Amino acid sequence: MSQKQPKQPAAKQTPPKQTGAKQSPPKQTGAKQSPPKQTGAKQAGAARARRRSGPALLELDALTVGYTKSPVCAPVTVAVGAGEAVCLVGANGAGKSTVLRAVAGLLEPLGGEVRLRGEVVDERTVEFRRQVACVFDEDAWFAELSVAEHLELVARGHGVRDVVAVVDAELAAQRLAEHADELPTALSSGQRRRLLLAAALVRPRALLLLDEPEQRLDPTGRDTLLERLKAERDAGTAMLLATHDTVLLRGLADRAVVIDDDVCRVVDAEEAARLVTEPVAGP
Amino acid sequence: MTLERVDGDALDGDGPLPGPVAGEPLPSRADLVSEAAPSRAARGLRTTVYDVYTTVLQTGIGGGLLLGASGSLRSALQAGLSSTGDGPGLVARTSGVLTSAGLAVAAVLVLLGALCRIGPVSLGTAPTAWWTPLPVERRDLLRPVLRQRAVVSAVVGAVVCGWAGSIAVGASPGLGTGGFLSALGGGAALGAALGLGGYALVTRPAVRAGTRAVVRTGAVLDALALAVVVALAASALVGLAVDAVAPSALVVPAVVAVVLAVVALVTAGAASWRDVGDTSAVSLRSGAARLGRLTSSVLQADVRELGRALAADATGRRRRRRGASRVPWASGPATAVWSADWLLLRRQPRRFLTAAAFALVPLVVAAGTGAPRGVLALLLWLAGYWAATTLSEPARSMALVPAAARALPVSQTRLPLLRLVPVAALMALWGAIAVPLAATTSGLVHGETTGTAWWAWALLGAFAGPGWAAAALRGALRPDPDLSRPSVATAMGSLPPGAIAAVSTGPDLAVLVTVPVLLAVLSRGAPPLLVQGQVLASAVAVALGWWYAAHRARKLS
Repeated sequence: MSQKQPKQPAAKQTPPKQTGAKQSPPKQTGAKQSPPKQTGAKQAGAARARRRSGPALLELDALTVGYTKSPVCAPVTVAVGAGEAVCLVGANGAGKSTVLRAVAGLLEPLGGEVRLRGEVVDERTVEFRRQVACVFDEDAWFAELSVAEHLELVARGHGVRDVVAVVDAELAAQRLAEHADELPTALSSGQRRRLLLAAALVRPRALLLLDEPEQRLDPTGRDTLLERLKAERDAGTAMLLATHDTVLLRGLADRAVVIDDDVCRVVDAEEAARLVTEPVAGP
Repeated sequence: MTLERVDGDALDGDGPLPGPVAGEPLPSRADLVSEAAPSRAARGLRTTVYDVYTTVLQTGIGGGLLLGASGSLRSALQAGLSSTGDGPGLVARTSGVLTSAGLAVAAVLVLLGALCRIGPVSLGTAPTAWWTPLPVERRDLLRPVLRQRAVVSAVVGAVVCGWAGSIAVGASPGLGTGGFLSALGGGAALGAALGLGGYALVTRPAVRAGTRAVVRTGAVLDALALAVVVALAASALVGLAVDAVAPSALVVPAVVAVVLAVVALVTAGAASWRDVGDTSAVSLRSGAARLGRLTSSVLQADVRELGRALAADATGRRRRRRGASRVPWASGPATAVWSADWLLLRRQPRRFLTAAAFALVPLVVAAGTGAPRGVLALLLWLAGYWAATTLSEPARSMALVPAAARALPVSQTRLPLLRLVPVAALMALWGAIAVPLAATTSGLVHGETTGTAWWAWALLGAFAGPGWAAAALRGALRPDPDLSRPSVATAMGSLPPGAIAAVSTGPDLAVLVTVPVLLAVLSRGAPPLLVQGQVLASAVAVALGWWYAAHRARKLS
């Protein structure tokens, strides 16, 4: 399949959402309708810096998360602006996914607050669902719908125009074109992961929440993921993702939050990558 | 460590893989388990006594309940038959024997269809994983399963048909003990033959073909069951009056049926047995997965999952023209939700057939047996709720994967309402047809006067439909039993805490919706006051169902 489709440069794999949405979220539209040209890393970095100078899109204010009233990690405080990618790093079981679930409104925080555009998040509202796209480690398919139908339905639900072209482009970008008419349950785990990513990228979004998106992807899939997420970030989407992948950290992250029991601290991407590769002390 | 063959020869790394020696027969399963079985079967006296006690107690209670229900139903039918003259029904009654026999046959067909989908020759998950890669002769491996399921099929067929025969014929006035026992025995023999022959037939596709063929066979059996119900309903609607059949008249047809069933059994059984050794590992694994799903849902008393396991469909590709839109009618959040739900139902057309069959059952029972009005109301309650449930599959499936619905920009409050609207519309249509049909065959429709006219009953049913849909929505999102706490010992076995509440969530709201229908049936008319009451009851049900679904969806997240 991949031999039939020439590999496109990263810049050309810009998500098809730019074809326009009827109801584009505020702040997102302007940035995405004029994506920055890839004339150089410095220019892109400067553009991101300009965007980040505005108010934070997502704020975690002393967010304490856990189960049965027991915190799983120290309180987290961090802000994520439009066009900024912040990674959550930490050992297995440190609480990265739990923090992400709380940010997504799927888990009641034990303390602190999560704010989106200044408002405390409520996952049940249409505003939240319109702005936030999640890629978590769970299958989320409409029963009996094929891969392409699922993507098309999500795109149409969000008012995307020229849906067929958008979906076909996303299928090609995720190397799923040959599986467009199959049920998601018939795909391999890596293909299902790519479909989850496609479902998040085929619709308009202001914030992307990703829980270890590199998991189960092959090397080509990881390369594509990095390029797509970089394009997303440069197009103005805010991102909060949990990851162990040093390539993603170095290539994508603006900052990282080290999730730990004692204190959760914000570090730069290089420091986070170094910490990720450090051997974890045994019990 | 050096690997050795069972005959003591060491294996070296460059040699061929171990396998059956040419010319030697494959080891049988019995040989392989002969050493392991005693240790696995070690059971203390206490365990054995407890198992025997539980089995006897449960069988006794179940049998007692069945006999009690049979006696009550028989008495009610006798009362109904003796009072058939007071209701000038527009449709002549069909024979109670014919109706009961037809419904029993339909029930056996449905059970066989379910067995077919589960996998008639499948082993459990663990035995499949263990035995399939081993060089065990497959026929020998599957013999105990085939024997066990053939016996179960025959017993189930005998119980269902014998029960139906005892009720239908036993309700005839003036029937002696001999006639009653003949009806019971004849029905049981017919049912056993039907069950056994049917099992041999459904085994064939499982042995010879893959999962799709098995699922297709299940669909054919479902369609046959529906055809039986439709034929019974048609015979009632066209006024086909069949005089009560004397038990003695059943002898010849019963003998012919048994002979035919035995011929079918021998033919199909021989063919299946010839090929059972070629059952593919894929087929075994697929059947094991379905069986595992079924077993776990039974253990957890999860009737929703049980329904899914019994109704599992084959998966396949959805062929579409390249470049064409797959859901062109969706143009926003609401239409996207409706499109997803519609596509699901359209790809499971048996759900529409099932809903249609549920609409016909009250009609058939009323026409064939002159069922008392209380029974008719009970049937309408069950049929209405189950029809709504089968059409509410999208809501039931979304309860499993709430994240899919969260991908659309629809609030948690609005989503259940969107889900409810199409089902409510379908159920309004269902009620507008099923309720007046049942009333007609029960002699409750009298010309064109207000309250007893056909349209009054249609109005009542149309307003009841959305209420049943709301009850089904509530049932779709009901809580699972709490498996984190110890089971509760009951007379019918151990149940997880909350099992009763889980099963009753949904039907309880349907009871509220059916109250005006019940009053109308008992008072032999649907006056405007009852229609208004029905509107109110359904409105309350819709509000409660909607509130419950929105509230529960939060927890499911």
